[in-house]
Amino acid sequence: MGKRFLFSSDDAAKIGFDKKPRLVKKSLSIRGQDQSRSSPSPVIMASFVKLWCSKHRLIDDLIDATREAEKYRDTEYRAVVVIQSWYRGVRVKALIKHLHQAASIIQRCFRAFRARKTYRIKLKEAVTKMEWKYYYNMATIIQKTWRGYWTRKYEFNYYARKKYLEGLALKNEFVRHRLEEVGRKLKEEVEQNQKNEEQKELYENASRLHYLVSTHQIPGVYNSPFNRYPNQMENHLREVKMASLRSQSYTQKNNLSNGGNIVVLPPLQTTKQQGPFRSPENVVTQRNKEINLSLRAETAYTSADDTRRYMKQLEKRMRIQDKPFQPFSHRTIPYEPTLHGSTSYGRIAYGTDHFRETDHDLDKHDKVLDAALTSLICRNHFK
Amino acid sequence: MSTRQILQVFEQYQKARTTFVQTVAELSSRPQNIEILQNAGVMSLLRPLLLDIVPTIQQTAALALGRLANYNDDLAMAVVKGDILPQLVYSLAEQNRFYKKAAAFVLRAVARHSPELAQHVVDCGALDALVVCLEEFDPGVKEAAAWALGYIARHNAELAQNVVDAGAVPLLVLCVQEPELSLKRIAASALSDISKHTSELAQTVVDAGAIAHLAQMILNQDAKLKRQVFSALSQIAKHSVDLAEMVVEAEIFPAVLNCLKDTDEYVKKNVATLIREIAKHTPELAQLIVNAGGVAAVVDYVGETTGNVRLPGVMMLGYVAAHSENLAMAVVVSKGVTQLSLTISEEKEDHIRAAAAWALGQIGRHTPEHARAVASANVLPRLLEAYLSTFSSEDLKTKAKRALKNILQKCVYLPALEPLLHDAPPNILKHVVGQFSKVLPHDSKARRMFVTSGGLKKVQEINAEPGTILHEYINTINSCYPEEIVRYYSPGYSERLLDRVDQYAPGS
Repeated sequence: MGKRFLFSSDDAAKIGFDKKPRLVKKSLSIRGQDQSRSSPSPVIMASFVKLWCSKHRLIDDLIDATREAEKYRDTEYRAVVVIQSWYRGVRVKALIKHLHQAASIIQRCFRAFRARKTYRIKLKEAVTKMEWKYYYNMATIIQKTWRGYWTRKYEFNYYARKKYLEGLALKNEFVRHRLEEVGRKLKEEVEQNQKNEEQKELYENASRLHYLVSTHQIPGVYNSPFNRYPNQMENHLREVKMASLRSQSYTQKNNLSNGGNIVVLPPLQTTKQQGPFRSPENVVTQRNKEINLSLRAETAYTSADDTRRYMKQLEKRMRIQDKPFQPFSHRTIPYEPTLHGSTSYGRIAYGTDHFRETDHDLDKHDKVLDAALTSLICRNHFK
Repeated sequence: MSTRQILQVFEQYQKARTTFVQTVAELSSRPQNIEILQNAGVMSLLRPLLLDIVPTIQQTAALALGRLANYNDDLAMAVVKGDILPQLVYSLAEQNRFYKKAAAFVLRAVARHSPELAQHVVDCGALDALVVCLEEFDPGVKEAAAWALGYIARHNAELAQNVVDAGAVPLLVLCVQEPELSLKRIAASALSDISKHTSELAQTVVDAGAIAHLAQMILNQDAKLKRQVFSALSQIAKHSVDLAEMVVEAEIFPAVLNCLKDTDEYVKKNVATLIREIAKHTPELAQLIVNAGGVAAVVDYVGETTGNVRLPGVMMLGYVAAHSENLAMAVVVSKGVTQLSLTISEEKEDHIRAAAAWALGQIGRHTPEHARAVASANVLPRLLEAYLSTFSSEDLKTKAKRALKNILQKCVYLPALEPLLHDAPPNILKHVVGQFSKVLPHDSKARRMFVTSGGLKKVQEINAEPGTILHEYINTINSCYPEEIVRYYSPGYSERLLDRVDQYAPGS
């Protein structure tokens, strides 16, 4: 076992002398420091000689070291395995952790993406839903308002009817009041008429019975001396006048129109008046009759002359010009010819021999112009 | 013999004729003399006197004949048979105004009795002569002619059409515009008689422009004229909506209501008739009357009058209420229901009570509110009484029954229905119980009241055949209450309890 180890340690020395330092260095390089790669130098060679010289000691050392190494080899090996396993574990764990992290990032991103997508859709749905809800609410309000309006307008309006009925009650009250007034007035009128009629009748009776009025000497029937006060009729009798005894002339009434039942006919001849008298109606009629003369009798004897005179007067009064207009045939003044036509020298031959006489010599004299323009000439002179 | 002596004979004869005719005319004005006169052969004696040479005798003979014919239709027939009418008609065109008046009087007296007699008058060609008389200057003649025409037209549509064809209507309308009151009156009456038959005749009268002139006379003082005017307007308005609208358009409305307070009974009645005839056509016209305060006026009128005068007012309220629920409510608001219920209780005559019952039915049939208004005026017991009374006429019974049915089917005012449970006959009870069965399931207070007032007990006592509607209604009512309560109120419950006491053995 030991030889094998030696061999192996020789081999190890052949291959590289610095097995141990390498181990040390290797252990050092674990910490990240490696200086064995520098090229051989005199220092190294010297150190080699030195080392060669101490070869045996070195071998011993080596054997010791090997032995010691063999002693701790298993423990170290185990430690290394532990360290390796730990390290590897750490690395794998780190890797797996990294992978997990990466995967979770991917997952996160993807899920976020998907969730966002879903969220968008959901949001859209929710918004649509909300909008629809809003629209429905608004539509409900419109429908409500419209239906209310429609019903109130065409079917039934509670408040309008209430108002109408209240108004109607007021109107009814008013009408009742007015009608009551009208009725009362009418009744009063009728009562007044009745009263008047009664009064009239009473007075008529009183005037007919006026002869029963008491005189200074003799009390009337309505004024009994045994009563304390005279009867009411006595007062009426004193108030009214005596009815006139004048007979009322008969006037025929034509009451045919009043139903035929109450037609008043002329009275039948009953008793004739005594004596050679005509009937009173006849007399009254004759007395009241107007004189009915004939046209000839009504006209005056001189009416024609009067009329003529009147017409003349009228004509004179209405005349505008004293000299009356005479037509041509009634002319009395003789015809007077014109002066020219009646002269004994005859007519001037105007129009046959000449027309108008002209004297052009008069135009040649211009002194008049000079005289008229003196001031102009003076101005020219002083220039 | 001297001339004087000879003439004296004639004079005596004339005097005797005059005396005879005048006496006969005088005698014929009393009904008790007429039979004796007839038996004495007065007709045949008067006939030649119509052709007398003295105008006075002619007139007086005509007058006497007219009075005789006026008395009864036999005498009128005798005048027709005696061939007197052609003479009269012939002389109607020829003679003076007094004679014309007398002749028109005879024609009128003959025509007034029956359509046949009037037809005889028409057959004589009297219409043309009378229409010519309408153009006369004298108002008396016009009046007599208008009167005769009115009497002819009054009988039937055919005669009235004859009068219209003779061209009388425009002249009658002119007569209405004359200043004489009596002429106006008679012309208005003739127009009324013409227009009452058919809507065509009424239309003819309207086309002649009668409405405006008639409407002007509403405010006249004369009561008799107003009677005729309102009668004419109502006869025109009764035929159709158009005619009624024409009448309304003459702006009669607030003014007419004043006449409901007139002192004259007939004026009042005719005004109420006019309002009724207008209101019955359409809801719009009824509404117009309601808005003018017409319902209140008519309600007052119904309260103030009695008997037949009241009838048109009562019917007017019914017509107005029948049109729509709004108008029915207007009648309720105008206190029409109380007035109608008074009418139904205080009137003696059945036809007026029937009209009132009908009107109440029209008011109550619209909505529960209306029915409540009617029921709370204590109308239902009165209607029931009118329905059950043995003295009521058939018409009143049917009207009362229908009104009860109409009101009950809408009535949910239970306190008014309760009394009916006790004394209504089965056919009315059906509706009463039906109303209870509709209301009780939804109203707890009413259920309680129904038990405490003894209604439930009464319902249990009703013997209803299973399967009938009444039985169903009772079942519905019973299902509103716990079973014990129903059993408690069922007839014979105490005996059953006592039986159970007998049967119960303690300690077993």
